[in-house]
Amino acid sequence: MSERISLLGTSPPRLDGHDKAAGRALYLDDLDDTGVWYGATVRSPHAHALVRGVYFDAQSAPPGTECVTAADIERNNGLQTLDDIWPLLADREVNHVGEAVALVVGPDPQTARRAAAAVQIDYEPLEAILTWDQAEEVEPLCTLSLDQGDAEADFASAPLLVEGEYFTGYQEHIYIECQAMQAHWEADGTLRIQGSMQCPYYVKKAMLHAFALPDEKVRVRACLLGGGFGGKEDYPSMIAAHCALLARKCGHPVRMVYDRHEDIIATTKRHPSRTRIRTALSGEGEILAAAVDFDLDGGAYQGLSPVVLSRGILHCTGPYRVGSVRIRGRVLRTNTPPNGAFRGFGAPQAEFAWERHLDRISRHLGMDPLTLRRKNVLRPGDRLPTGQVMDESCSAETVLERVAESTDFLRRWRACAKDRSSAPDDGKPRRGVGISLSFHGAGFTGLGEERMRSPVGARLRHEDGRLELLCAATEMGQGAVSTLPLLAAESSGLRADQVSMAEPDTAKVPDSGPTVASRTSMIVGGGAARVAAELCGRVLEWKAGSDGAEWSLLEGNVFRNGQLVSPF
Amino acid sequence: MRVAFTLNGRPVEVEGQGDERLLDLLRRHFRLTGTKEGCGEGECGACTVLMDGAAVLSCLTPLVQLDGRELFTVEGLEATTRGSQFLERFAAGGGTQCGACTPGIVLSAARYLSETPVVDRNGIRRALAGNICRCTGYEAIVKAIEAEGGRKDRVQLALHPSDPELTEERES
Repeated sequence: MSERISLLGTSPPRLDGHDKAAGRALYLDDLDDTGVWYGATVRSPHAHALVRGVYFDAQSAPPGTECVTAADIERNNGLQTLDDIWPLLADREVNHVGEAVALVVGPDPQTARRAAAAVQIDYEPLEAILTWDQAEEVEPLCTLSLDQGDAEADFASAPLLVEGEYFTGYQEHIYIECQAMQAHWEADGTLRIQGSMQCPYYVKKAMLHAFALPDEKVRVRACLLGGGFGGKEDYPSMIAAHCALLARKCGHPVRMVYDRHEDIIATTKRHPSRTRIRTALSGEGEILAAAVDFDLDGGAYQGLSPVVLSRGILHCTGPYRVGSVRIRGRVLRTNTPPNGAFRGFGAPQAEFAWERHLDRISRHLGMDPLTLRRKNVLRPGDRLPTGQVMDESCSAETVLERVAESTDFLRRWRACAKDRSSAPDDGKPRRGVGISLSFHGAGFTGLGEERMRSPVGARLRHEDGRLELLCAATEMGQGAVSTLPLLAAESSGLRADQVSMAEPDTAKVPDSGPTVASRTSMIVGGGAARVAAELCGRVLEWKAGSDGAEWSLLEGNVFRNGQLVSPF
Repeated sequence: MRVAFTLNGRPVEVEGQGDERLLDLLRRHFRLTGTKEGCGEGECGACTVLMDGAAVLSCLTPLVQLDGRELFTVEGLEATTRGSQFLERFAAGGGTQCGACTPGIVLSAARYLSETPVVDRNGIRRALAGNICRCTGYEAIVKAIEAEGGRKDRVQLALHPSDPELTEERES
């Protein structure tokens, strides 16, 4: 009974693999659309303008089509994320190119597009904020700072200072399946949403707010996602609200599927960044102090930017030991589409700048980039700027050494440097080689996970005796529907095929949190493992209580006093 | 206009606008939703189908070009024994992630495997040059196709309605 074969570390086929390969797996736009109408969005061509009037020419529009503007919104014209400032439809003012001003609906996509051409909008263009310099002149969307130690004193006494400025640009997610959503009002006033989304409970929260509905009147189901990468964290709530507004107006279920062009124009991107770094160094290359000004371009509305900024700030000095820090972060407002979640969530921008800065330092010192990193890499006992002390699990040094060794880094770096130094100054490109190290926290930062305490449920199904996990984790290619059952099976003594997952429908599963931040395997998976073990444990206790025998579960089989009884 | 063609081995006739996209025709008219739209402008390859045995982009193929053609989609591939076994092995080999690019990829792969006696990694990569996997699962995809190429019973399509395997499958 003590022998236990671990499921973890094995690579069983993904449960959804064959369906996907065969084209059987259903994404939102693959669902039957009988009786479903289609919506289209009329967007601002201006970065900043007053909206003087929105007119729908019902005469020239295809018969039966309808239009919705801000004036039709009965309750809250704001997308509920951290705040609700981002309008569902622009009212008197547009603040970025691509901002939604009006919605139209028709019985099929072509008719909806023709109806969109019947919407006329009278704009008065205004000056727009489009550059870092302009953005600095207005109030930032949010700020955040982090201090540790006495950076001022360390700068004053340091033998060497190195400064640098680093920029990163936009990045678009390009999930292969574009944004897709559908809304339907039931006869009893319940709003039902289904679509391509990472976070069904975010969408639910936004619908409750936009339509001022009680909790039981909104039901949201996440379909299979053809990719997300963060791009389906916040914006799906916007499209869900648009579909719901149109569905209310026309009385039919309404579907919206963006084409690639619209998806790129309108939805959130990775925040462009500007990072200014000043470092104080010892002559040997130890980083005594760092002052980092970390700015993100948030676009026109705040959205998720404060949380992106927070993660960026926490990663500003990378996996390295830094004596003291003074970090100042801002999200600046510009007249561009709001930026949002994208894998890494602010950390890649910050770590890119820091790694480039380390290379700058190594050039200043005449030191190779590996040696500089070796001197400063985090080791157990070191402290992050947040005060977190690294325990024995800190593997930064091991990773650095393994990469250096397996790539023969130093030899290649020296060879490239030698080639460059002996090459003529003829403007032709030269070859280089670099090394960088990064770290990333899985799950919400700070006290996020502790505060959320997101529940995962489990039940035993009467139909087939399987243990069914109840959580809001969505499947977007990362393999949640295969990984979570594996974790639950491992912890409870079941086989993976005795565990299934309920679909992420807010009427069926608890809010186990959003499918973001690399938290699904680690946080939700932990919850799944615990709840499965507890549920099976209780069943065994109940059996033991009934006959006094010792009951146990191993690899999906039930044992009584060590004797095999039956499969679970 | 009216066009007649064969779809997964079955003769069909369609009345429609000459500029209607094959992609919409498949998804909306025939309800064959295995073919996916990724970009709508011929960049990503998600909507790849086979026409007269060649991989084509259904988002750039108008109805007017379909008359007399032989079209083959992922549903047709799954309907054959060897095709279905290939898809199962492809998935087991880790070839799918989010799945949106997969139907296009397996058709490009099936064409390549059917035409190439001895497969190699460069050939596989060339065959998939028009298919983007945004989840960046290329290594597992290439390995899965390479493994298929090493099998005696690998996927083999004559890509023709008289292909005995296709005919047999449909009739059964």
